[in-house]
Amino acid sequence: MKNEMRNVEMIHGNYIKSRKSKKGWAIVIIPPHARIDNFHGYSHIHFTPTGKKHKIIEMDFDMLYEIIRTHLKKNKKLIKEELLEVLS
Amino acid sequence: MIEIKLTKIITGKDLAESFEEEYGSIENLENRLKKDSENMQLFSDLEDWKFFGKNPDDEIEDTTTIITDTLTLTNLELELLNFIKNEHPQSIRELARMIQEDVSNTQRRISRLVKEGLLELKKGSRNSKVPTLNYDKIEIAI
Repeated sequence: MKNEMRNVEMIHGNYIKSRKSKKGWAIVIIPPHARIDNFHGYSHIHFTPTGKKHKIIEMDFDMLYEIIRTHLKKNKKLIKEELLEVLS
Repeated sequence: MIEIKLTKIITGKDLAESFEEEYGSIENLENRLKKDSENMQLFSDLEDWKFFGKNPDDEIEDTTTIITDTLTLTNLELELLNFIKNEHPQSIRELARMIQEDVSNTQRRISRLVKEGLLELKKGSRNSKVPTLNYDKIEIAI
């Protein structure tokens, strides 16, 4: 495995930018702005860089990525409350 | 829906340089983030720039996924991509000469491939445009 794997994908005008390394992984959804990562020892989602970190269920990165893709394909946009409910 | 994955291998140094091209300096990026504090893209780029500035030799597999309904690549265009990757023509005119095709036809094909995001035209000598395939791997899933 390389030191880091990055991917950029656009679904219905929303970018999903992801990266995965030995340190952990992060997925950023733009717009609006949401970030899901496990860089502080647990998986969480936050909607501003310094905002509240909502804990989410621990799961495999690829499974989480597919949940986000499916959410954006179905809704054509990010619905924060709905995604949070699915991941909590 | 057709999914195209374009993959290239870059280093931490390459990534840091792309941030420098986009933002100028880390201080500029920090200032932009202060003004737009909810912007996760700026936040992530700053985090990455700081990390890869210290780890320039790290290898990164950088993938762009394009989802399209309209990709209609012909065998000839796929061969053209392969040719550009291996033979490195320095202009569209040179490419046309190498593949023994009319320049306007080659130009049209190149424009389509650029529009699909598969090729990039870099500035060459004497205002020529150098067709460049920046990816190490192209995967097309149908």
